[in-house]
Amino acid sequence: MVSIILSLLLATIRQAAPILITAIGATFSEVTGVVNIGLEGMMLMGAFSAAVTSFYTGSPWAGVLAGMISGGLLAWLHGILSIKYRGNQIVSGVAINLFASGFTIFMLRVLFHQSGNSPAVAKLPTLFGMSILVYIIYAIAILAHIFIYKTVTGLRMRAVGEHPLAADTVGIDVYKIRYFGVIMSGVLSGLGGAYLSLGALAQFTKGMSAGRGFIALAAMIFGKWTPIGSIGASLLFGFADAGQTLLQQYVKSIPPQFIQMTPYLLTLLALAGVVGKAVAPAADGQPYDKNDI
Amino acid sequence: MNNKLKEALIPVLSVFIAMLIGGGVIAYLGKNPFTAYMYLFQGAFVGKREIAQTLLMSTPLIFTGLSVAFAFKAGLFNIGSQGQMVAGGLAAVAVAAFVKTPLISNVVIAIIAAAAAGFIWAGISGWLKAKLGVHEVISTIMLNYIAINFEQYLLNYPFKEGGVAGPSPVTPPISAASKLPSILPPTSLNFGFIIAILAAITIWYILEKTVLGYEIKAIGFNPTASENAGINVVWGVVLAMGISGILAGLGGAERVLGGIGQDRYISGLMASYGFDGIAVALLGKNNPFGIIVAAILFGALRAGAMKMQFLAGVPSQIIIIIQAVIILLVASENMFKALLNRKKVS
Repeated sequence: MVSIILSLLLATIRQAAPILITAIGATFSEVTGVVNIGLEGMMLMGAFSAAVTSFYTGSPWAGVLAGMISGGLLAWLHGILSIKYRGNQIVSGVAINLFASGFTIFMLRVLFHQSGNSPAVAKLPTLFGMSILVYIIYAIAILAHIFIYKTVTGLRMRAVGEHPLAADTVGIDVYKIRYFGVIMSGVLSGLGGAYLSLGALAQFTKGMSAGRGFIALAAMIFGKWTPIGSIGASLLFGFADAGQTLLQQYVKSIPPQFIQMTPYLLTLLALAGVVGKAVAPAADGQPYDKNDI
Repeated sequence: MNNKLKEALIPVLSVFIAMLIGGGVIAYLGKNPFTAYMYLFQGAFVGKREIAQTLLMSTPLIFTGLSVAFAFKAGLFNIGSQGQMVAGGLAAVAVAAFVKTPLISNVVIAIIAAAAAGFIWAGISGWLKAKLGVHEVISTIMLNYIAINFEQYLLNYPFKEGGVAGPSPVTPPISAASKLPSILPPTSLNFGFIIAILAAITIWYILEKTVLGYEIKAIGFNPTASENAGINVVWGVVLAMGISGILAGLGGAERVLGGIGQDRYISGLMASYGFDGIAVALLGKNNPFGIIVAAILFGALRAGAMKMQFLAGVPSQIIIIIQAVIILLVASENMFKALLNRKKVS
């Protein structure tokens, strides 16, 4: 019994990790007022670049770096479209998701002549049975909370997300802060992707983000746009994921599909105010135009 | 340059630039882009079978494209066409494969069931938005995943065909009376394509010629002003999402009843049509007839990709890249506008 509980606990922490780091990324972006539904694509691109780099260099750490850079680059693109050109943030996010999905499938073909997955690659080391990246991810989540709530840059980010015009008036560069938030969201979701291909598995498989980018978005909302809240929500979603695997082994009466549904149902309920009011940053999703006053 | 022309120029330019980029990638792979594109074109348009295939591939995209565009007119971003399509397809197969009474188990009833399921599934998001202020982008994404899990449940348990094991569960085949007839035998191009065209005309008519269309557009422009002008905004939002869902639901019905999934609902049958619908709506500039053209373009890319892969040796996945670049470019229309305007100044 004790061993079952312990393994459930560890599985929860592991399953929550990629969702958590991506949710932290989402928080960085949305706190500054930019909605990023391209997280799914940034994660996928991160997973792919990480695996490919690890394959060619033999160094999984180089892979992690590549994953973060490629996620950051896609996010930069999202920034150009939605901050500089004030395009529709949702459209840009969707386009990024489609691009990442197409690009990774295409490059699998070109590089490895495979349509489903990459060859096995060098994996990250483990510590007490968990990938070392899991520890790093939780550490980043806590640091992110301190960063957003205790530093001057964090205060500026929140100011830009709540009232960009007021922030601009006191001399904060709204565009720069938003670029920072968005690029951080890509870097962190790229890291989440790298965990999938180098921490959880040792290869890239087609579409391996499997909706986690969207779950991360849900976790951020559920966590009320705060990193600490995201940790809680991600653990809850991770538990649903881990619990379902266990339930399938021991309880045959509940179809696993209903358990897999729970994160999404919970998010809907949370948004509907059943679990407490979730309030987004006031300027979330609003493009800012300096000359628009 | 006048604004109307500029509006129309952006999608055309986007497609052109994306094809150029695609050509560059093909050349980089050491293949001849002209040969590749020639086979792509032949595979999509030269021959009865090829044209039928192109139109067949474009049919669900017309439905989901219209679905996204209609919601958009009311200022709503429906990312949930996927889930609504699944809901529609499941409702259609529930009637078509499981109801045995001759009066009820026919194609018309199955289509009505699919439309109703799509209406309800999207209506939930509309209601959550209008009543509780839940952003429709998040609620529709969540409902997509709920629908997909529900699909897996139904296909694995109550709807599962007896005795068929394996990782990809399927339903029993639909009854003969519920099949959408072919309009170009012996190809699989079915009556669903005609329904899609009729749907586009209907949507155009609703938006341009009816009070409902006017109210929906008014809500899209300014919900507060519409409320003050006496428009029932809550009902308008639910209805706009609901009609959007009906369109996606019809798309789901076409996939099941049109013989695409071997006349049954196969796991994953709805693929990524929902998200592709967003692309189609964007490229078609939310205009019903523009959407037909955009859907046929995407359908042609898919239909021609196989021939290009076989005869030119270019991986068919290149078309996903071309498609993604098209959307990225259309999404950056403000960038185009900035560039076009700058030229005029200098």
